[in-house]
Amino acid sequence: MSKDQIPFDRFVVVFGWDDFAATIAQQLIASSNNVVVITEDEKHEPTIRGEFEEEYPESIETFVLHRSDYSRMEEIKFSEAQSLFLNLESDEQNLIAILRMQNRFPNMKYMVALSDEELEETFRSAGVTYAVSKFNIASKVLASYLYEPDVAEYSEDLLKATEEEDDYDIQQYRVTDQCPADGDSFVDVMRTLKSEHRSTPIGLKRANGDLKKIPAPTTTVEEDDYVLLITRGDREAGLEDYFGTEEGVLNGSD
Amino acid sequence: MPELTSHQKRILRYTSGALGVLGFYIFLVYTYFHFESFGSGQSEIGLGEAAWYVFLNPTGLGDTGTKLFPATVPGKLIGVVFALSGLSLIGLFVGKVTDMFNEYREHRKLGHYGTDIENHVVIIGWDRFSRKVVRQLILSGVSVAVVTDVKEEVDLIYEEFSGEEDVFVLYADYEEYDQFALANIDSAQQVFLNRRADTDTLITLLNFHNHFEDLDLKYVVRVKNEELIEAFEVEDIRVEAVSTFDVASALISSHIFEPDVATFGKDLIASAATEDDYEIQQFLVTDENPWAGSSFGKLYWELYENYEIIPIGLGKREKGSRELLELPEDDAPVEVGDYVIMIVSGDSAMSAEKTFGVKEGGYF
Repeated sequence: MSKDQIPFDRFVVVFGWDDFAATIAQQLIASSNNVVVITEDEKHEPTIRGEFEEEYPESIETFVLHRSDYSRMEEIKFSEAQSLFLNLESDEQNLIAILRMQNRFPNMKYMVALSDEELEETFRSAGVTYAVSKFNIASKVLASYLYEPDVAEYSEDLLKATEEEDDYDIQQYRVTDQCPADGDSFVDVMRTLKSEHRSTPIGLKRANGDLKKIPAPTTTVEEDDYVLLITRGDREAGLEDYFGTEEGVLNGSD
Repeated sequence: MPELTSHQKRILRYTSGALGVLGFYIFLVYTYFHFESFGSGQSEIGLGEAAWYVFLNPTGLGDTGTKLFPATVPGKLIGVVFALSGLSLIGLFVGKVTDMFNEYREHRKLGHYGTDIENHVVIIGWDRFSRKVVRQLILSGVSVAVVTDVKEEVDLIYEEFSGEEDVFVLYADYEEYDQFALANIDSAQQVFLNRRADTDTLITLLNFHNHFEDLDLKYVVRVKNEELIEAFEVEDIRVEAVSTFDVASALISSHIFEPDVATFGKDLIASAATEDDYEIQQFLVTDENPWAGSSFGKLYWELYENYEIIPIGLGKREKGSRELLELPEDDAPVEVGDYVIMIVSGDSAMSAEKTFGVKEGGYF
């Protein structure tokens, strides 16, 4: 039985269930995020429970409700979600649902995976914070396998969340006031991360939102910046100690 | 005696017809010459003048000379035959030439005259996904031979890639393996399989491996149901199975909890189109490479401090197999034949090409 309210303080909503949604949920849970799955079809509930709730009972919750049942959404604290990934049957249905939900939940971050990549701009205009085409990215990786296989393998590995200790991943960590990197040059932080944590920093996200990809060696790292780095699953604990926070912006924020 | 192909049979038929018509006309010329020379009193008419009349009469030119007209009854009858058959023959000739031209264009469009492109990718199966893959390959300078078993798709492919010299299209049955010689499969670097159903893709993979075993081809397959990926890991076949939405789902979930990683990741996957774009590239270490024989750490710091390039891996090659070392130790050796994998900007990629003395890429 699903609960009356969402039992998490920080969570992501996946609205609509299919194989793609299952992959998204898997990736989110693997990165220590709480996931609320909402489906309109009661038949999905046992599948979701069977697939996730036994293995991750603390990280996933399922609700059955219709996309326009706003009163029920209010009841379960739907509006407190950090992000909503909408995964209905078609791009058109996603667009209509987003436009309607935005009136009720204007502060929500909406995300979709498009079947038709030409609608990316339309969805952005509708207020979607992240729209990515399922085909576009996969075709790029696949084409990459055809002419630069090491790059393709590396890219695929980097983009997926680490599930095994020897998986590699790009992660981002906030520079907290406890982090020794505060005030150092990027090249010095790089030397420390490489030698002590066998991780390679590749970018710096400024507190003002500016993302510097491959910053110059003399760039100064400041408190509340995010350091983007490539690392391996088994090195996360050391990095969390170094930065004084968990990875990501959901878990890693104050 | 080997059986003639339909094309050879057609050439034989046209040649026989042309020889028959020519023989008939020679006969008529000779007959006309015979009657008009010896029967009409125009004794000065010669064989050449008779031929002039026969061949140009239908155009009207043959009648311009004062004496080049038949005077005898048999000559006049032959003249009528000339006029009628000449007009028909011109019509037939023009029609046949047009047909042959159209047929040639059709066969050429369907790829039946083959291609001599080399080091290319053969793509089996066409849909939106294949179209995107071809677009990426062309951007990266890789030639492509697309094979489809749906005739209507040939026009779609040409429409999409009109003017692209690096794209060859072949209309063929996927089970007719001999036809793949037209796509120059012997010289292909890789085969990308993208059939409508995963099971068809798997069957084609196995059949191709059996049929083209000597070619030792490398395969990349698109798998729609990621649960079937393991089924494609067949012993002795060099195959990479890629799930359609595995990476997209990774990007979406990544954007939810680490949005900058997703932004950077999306940028890294796409080809660097401008100097400010970043992407991961791989460069071969040749024996002239300044870091050949040195350590990964030395290469790392020199590339970062001099060019703001960040090396992140080494691709090792041994006896045809591939091993990827992600974030290698600083003392890992950089050897000739390795590939250095690094993050470059559109701008620093040019420095990398100059320093490594090679273009980016793993096979081409």
